Order: sequence, then structure tokens, then C-alpha cells
Amino acid sequence: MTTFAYVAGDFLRRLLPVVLLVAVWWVLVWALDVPSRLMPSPPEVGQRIYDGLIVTGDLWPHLWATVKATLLGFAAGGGLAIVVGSLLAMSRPLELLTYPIVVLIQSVPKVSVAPLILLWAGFDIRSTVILVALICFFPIFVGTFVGVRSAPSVLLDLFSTMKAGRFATFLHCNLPYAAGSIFAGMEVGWGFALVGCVVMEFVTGVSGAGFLIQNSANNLDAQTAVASMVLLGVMGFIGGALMQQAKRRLVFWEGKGRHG
Amino acid sequence: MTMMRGSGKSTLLSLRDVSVSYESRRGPVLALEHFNLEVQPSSFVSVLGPSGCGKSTLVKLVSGLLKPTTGTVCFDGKPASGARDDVGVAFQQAALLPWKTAIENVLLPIRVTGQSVQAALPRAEALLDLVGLRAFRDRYPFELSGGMQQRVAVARSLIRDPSILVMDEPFAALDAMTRENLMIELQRIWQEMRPSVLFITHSIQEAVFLSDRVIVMSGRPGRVIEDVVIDLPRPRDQHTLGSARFAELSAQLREIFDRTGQT
Repeated sequence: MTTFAYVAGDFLRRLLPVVLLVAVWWVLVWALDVPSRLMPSPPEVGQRIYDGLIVTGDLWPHLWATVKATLLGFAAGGGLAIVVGSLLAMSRPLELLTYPIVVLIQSVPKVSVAPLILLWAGFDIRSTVILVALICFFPIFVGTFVGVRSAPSVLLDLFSTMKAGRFATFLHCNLPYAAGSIFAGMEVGWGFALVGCVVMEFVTGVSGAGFLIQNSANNLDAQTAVASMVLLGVMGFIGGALMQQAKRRLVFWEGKGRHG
Repeated sequence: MTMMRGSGKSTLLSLRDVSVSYESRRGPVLALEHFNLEVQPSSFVSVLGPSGCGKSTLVKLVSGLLKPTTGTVCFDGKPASGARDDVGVAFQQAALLPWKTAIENVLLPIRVTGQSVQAALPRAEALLDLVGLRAFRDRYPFELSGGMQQRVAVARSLIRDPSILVMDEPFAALDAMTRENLMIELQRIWQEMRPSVLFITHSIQEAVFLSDRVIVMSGRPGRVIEDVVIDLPRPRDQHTLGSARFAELSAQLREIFDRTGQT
């Protein structure tokens, strides 16, 4: 029960600023008398979400497309980032050889590659997954690299005196130590992943929340566009909250007492 | 001195004419110079020296983390190469893995070398018992006090039944009360297990109370300046600390320090 109370309290604390923001939005739309085709009021957006999810269900296919592409891309990019980050952190020669390349790739804004990816992978989910993977790779890579390198030297000394091999040292010392840092990278990466997904859906214009936003804005249907934005925000929030929960369970020792 | 072996007193660990130098930003530093040391099986040898006398270099040499620049390190008369299964090491910090319970930490040397954890479990439990932590078997390090963490580290260093245990100022980070308790406890554990111990310390009290022999080192570069035999009867306990002989030996060591102008 205490866990539940904690989670609920945490949720309410996060929710309060959101409630305030919605109030400001409502007051502004009402006070400035903004027409609903440009900027709908919160109840109108709420109505659209209710209709789209429960009455007609027309939002579901798009939401599902976005969730699927983002999750697949996040898993692929994140998985690769953890493997590559670990390898580079554990091997000095490999680091010297490939780190500059990784930084170089990172210096190119990933979104600018979107049309090229489209050219290579075509107008379907594959393009979206590739961009998502590319865009969420770097924060998770950095989180892994820094985390794996952060293992205390006294522990590494201990592992050498125990005659532990390099892989055993990685598995039992470096990787668990890196867990907190990897999760931090994943939280940032999840936000990035959604951006990548929406951008690609703008470009492909087939399905997904991104497509819905662009299409409805073109048709002067701000209600649907804002409703999609809100749902994207919910997705981002749920992803972040799930990762924080997972982190709290897996990295349970962090911030507790002395670690000697 | 080659007759030592013939006289039935073999040498477990010997350092012969060992020098260690390493490069630093301000040029080469000589950490140890012409260092000689012999440790007999089942004997407790303390190395006492001022800070920065190359004590940690000595630990790294014996635990196989470092190779001597010149001279040889031998185990059972054979030159050492790299880390060894039969050396247990305890550092100044307990160095426990925060995500593993006490028993899992004790079993760590077994697990990371791919040996059977199941087979070693009874021994790990016995060791936790020996260090007085039976009830804390499934606690995480952050649930243990500093002294308890150090006890877990001692149990871990004993799990592979080492013929020599290297302890690098294991009580230095603890408060005075805990230090004294652990010191007394270590001598009890040693009496039961009888591994050779190379105990690095800068505490005269610890050195005299625990050891068969105390090696006094000079400041950098580290050299042996005195080898004092401690003839206090065993088992030793709180009363030993108050005995006249204890005070006498402590004063003698203190005098060596003063004579060589060290603090």
C-alpha cells in the first residue's frame, strides 16, 4: 500500500502544473476569443479525444501506428546503443577507433536524414523505425558509456585480484553500476524517439499521430490536431513514468546510505 | 639464508630486492627500493609505515596487480605472475557490490570465476557466521554499518581459502570503537583459519596486537628499516592491550619511528 500511496502522490505532484497549464490555456482562449478552428478550448479537445477513442474510435489506428513504430525504433536503437556503448567503454582501442565516428554522426541533425531514409526504406513503418532508432541512439549510448566507465577503481582492482575475466567484470561490476545512467539516457531517448516518429510521419504522410496532426491542420481541423498532440504528450509521459518505475526497482540501491 | 627451507620453515611469500618505480607528471617516482620481505605459512606479518611509504604499492605487488620494476616476488619459491587464486585481498574500503546481499558479496570471488556457487554456499555461510553476521545474510550493504561491511569484506577475502591474506589498512576508515572490536575479532578469526596475513597499517596498536612480526618501513622510497618479533602470548584479547609487554613493544616501535624522524 505504501508503494501505491507513493506512486499516487508522485502522480498528483506531477499533475498539478499540468492542471494549471490547462487552466491558463482555457482562460486565454476564452479571453482572447480565439476561434475554435485555430485553437480549440480544453473541453473541445477533451470531446474530440473522447469521440476518437470511445465513440467512433477513429484515433486508435493512428495511435497504434505511432506507438508501434516508436517502440520498435526505441528497442532497436536503445539495444544497439547499450551494446555499442558497453563495447566502447570496455575497450580503449575500440573507443579510439570509433568514438570520433559516433560523434561525427551525432553532429548531423538526424531529422535531416529523414528524406534519405524514405528513399532507402520506402513509405512504410520501416522508415519511421529507422529514424526513431537513429535519433534515440545517442542519449542512450552516452548514458551507457559514461555509466560503464564510472565503476569505482577499488572495485575494478578487487575484480582483478579475484582473477575475474573482462566479461565477468563487465557483467558483475560495470554494467550494474551503469544501470542508473543507462536509465537516464533512456528517459531522454524516449522523448527523442517520439520526435523522430512524428517527424517521419509528417514526411511519409501515411498514418500515425504525426500524419493526423499535419492532415487535420491542413483541413483547418485544429481540434483533431491538438487532440493528437495531447495524446502524444500522454504517450511521452507514460513512457517516462514506466522507465522511472523500472529504474526504482532495478537500481534500488542508488541514493541509499553508504556504498563502501 | 637458503638453509631456511632445510630447517623445515618454508617461505610462503618472498620479495627479493624488489624495486618499483613509475612515471608521474613530475618524472619517475621510486615507490619501493631494495625491498626484502619473507612471510612464513600461517604467520601474521604487519607492515608498519608512514603514509606514502609505498604500502599500497606493496599490496598491489603481492595481489598481482603490479609487477616489480626489478627484483622478484615469489610464492612457494616460484616467481609470481599475475593475480592468484590463493591470495585474498581486503581493502581500506569494504568495496562491496551495493546490489548484492551480504552472502552474495561473500560468494562473489566464486561467481566471477565461474566456479560452483552452490558448492561454496556452506562455506560462505560458515564465514558469515565466523565474522558474526549470520543474521545479516540477506541484507544489502546499505543496510549494514561500516564495521559490518568490513566484516563482509573479510569473509569474502577468505572464501577461496587463501594461503595468504593481504589486508590494506582494512580498519582505517572506521571509528575508534569499531576498529578495536574488529581488531580483536580479526585475531580470533585468524586463530581459527590460520592463513598467512600481510597486514598493512599505520597503527602501532593494530600492528603489535595482531602480529607475529612487525616490519617497519621508511618513508618513500619504501625500505625495511626494522623487523620486530612480537612475542605476546596468544590468544590475545582486551587484556593484552593493557599488559606491560604490549606497552613495551608499542614504545619500542614508537621509538624506531622517532629515531628515523618519521611521524
